[in-house]
Amino acid sequence: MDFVSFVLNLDRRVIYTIVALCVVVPLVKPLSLPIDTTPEVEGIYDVIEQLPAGSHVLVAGDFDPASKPELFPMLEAVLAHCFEKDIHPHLLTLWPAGPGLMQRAIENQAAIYNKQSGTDYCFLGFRYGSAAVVLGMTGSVTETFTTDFYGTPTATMPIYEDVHRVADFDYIIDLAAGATVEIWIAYGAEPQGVPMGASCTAVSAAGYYPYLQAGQITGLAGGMLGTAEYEVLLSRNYPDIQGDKSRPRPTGEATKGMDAQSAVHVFIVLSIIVANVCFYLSVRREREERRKA
Amino acid sequence: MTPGELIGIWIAAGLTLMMFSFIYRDNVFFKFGEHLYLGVSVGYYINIQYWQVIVPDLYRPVTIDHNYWVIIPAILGIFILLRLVPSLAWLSRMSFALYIGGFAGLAIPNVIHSIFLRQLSETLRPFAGGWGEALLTMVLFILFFALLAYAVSGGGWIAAVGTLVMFGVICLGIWLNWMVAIDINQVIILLGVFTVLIFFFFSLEHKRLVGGISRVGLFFIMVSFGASFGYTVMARISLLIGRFQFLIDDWIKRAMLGQ
Repeated sequence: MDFVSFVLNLDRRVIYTIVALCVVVPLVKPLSLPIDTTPEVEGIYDVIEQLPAGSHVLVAGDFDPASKPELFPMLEAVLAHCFEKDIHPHLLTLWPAGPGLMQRAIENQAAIYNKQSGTDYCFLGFRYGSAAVVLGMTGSVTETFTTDFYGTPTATMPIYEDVHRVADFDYIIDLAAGATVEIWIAYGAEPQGVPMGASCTAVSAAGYYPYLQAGQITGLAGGMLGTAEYEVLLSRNYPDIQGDKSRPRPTGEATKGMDAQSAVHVFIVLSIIVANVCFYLSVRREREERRKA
Repeated sequence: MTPGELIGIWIAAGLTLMMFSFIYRDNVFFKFGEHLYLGVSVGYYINIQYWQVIVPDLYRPVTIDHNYWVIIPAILGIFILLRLVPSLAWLSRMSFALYIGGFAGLAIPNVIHSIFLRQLSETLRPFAGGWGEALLTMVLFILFFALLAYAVSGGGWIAAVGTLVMFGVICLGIWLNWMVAIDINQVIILLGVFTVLIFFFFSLEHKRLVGGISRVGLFFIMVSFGASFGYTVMARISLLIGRFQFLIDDWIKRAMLGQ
């Protein structure tokens, strides 16, 4: 069997094994490939960076464990950025399977930065209804979410003394595994005039570029790459947690995963090129054999 | 690490390996994992719906606040479930009518204003300065690309000469400032929108000039599919990386080696 036939008849399990190796090897032995930041991700980072201390940011974590590798590190990075600047994040989810991940992220970051629920941040939890929830929040946040995730009444929380409705937030960021970005734009950010950013799974990133180009979102972090870029920006500007040299910022999960991502992409691109060349050669060979016959 | 956390990691690692076993071939371990996932998901969602919807929005208002108005939407909700009973399925129409009508009333103004009109105005933004020049620019660019596509797809020497003439007219237009000073990306976006719309317009036969325009549209569609495919590969590999990160960091390093 020559090389062309070997490639065209390759067992798919061999390809899966090579892909697995391309993932495992960089995770065990990191290559530390550089990650450049793009204007799309800087569009989110810069807006949060420029907000004064005491500002209020609505963080919608509209994803579930199926999108954890892409969006959970972004959620942690955004919360860390907010706490680093003494900004108050208000976290909620429109996805029923989201609260567990949201709880883990907000409690981890609140513990690291020593922040108090109800004063420094609020975890509103989940409410059923997607667009209806956003519409409700444009009227009153505390009436839409009468209690936070832990059952504490929101109306009496100090954090809601200045914030009553969506229009009172300084920034909205949606971390979306589905179509919730459109919901937040159509019912929340656009009618209320609040700037908004979006972080989404890579699958839906291409579909959100029109909103970015139209200026309806200030920035877009697509997939694991977008998250890794945000982690790089945060680490570059805040290498230590709250400036404490004894607490260096750990490398983010998305940043760690990008070496594997690059290795697999190189393999896929090479596979596409080799397979197409081999296919072309096999067709040409068949044609020549037919002509001879 | 607590014993509960340790057991959880081992179960999650076992289920992950069961799912991966499908790569080799379909087997009983994969089937078990698949069915378990489905069952747990349904149970979880029912639990969430009960505690997040029925208890706070129905049970508590009725039993604690004595707000009996909430019984009306509850009955309408039950009507939807009656689709399962053929003789009473007609009742669900009332609920659907109210739901669709109400939501359309809320959605249409917001979506038209925030998505449709805003996207439309931003697509035409570079031409806001002067409609005459804008129209001329747009028409010349579309004709140029359509003739180019027609020439490439075997339109003959007339189409090839036409393409060159059109290119010359565009250059002349820019030189003599007939055409709007525009951002080339915005022209590409507008060109893409127009030609893709023509591609999906089947009332005209896709031959000659219309065929050329639709071929340009096809090119834009292919670029869009390519971008989506590239992103989809990245998304799927991200999920694989997430699972391997769990297996290496949590299962092997933390649970097995105690690091």
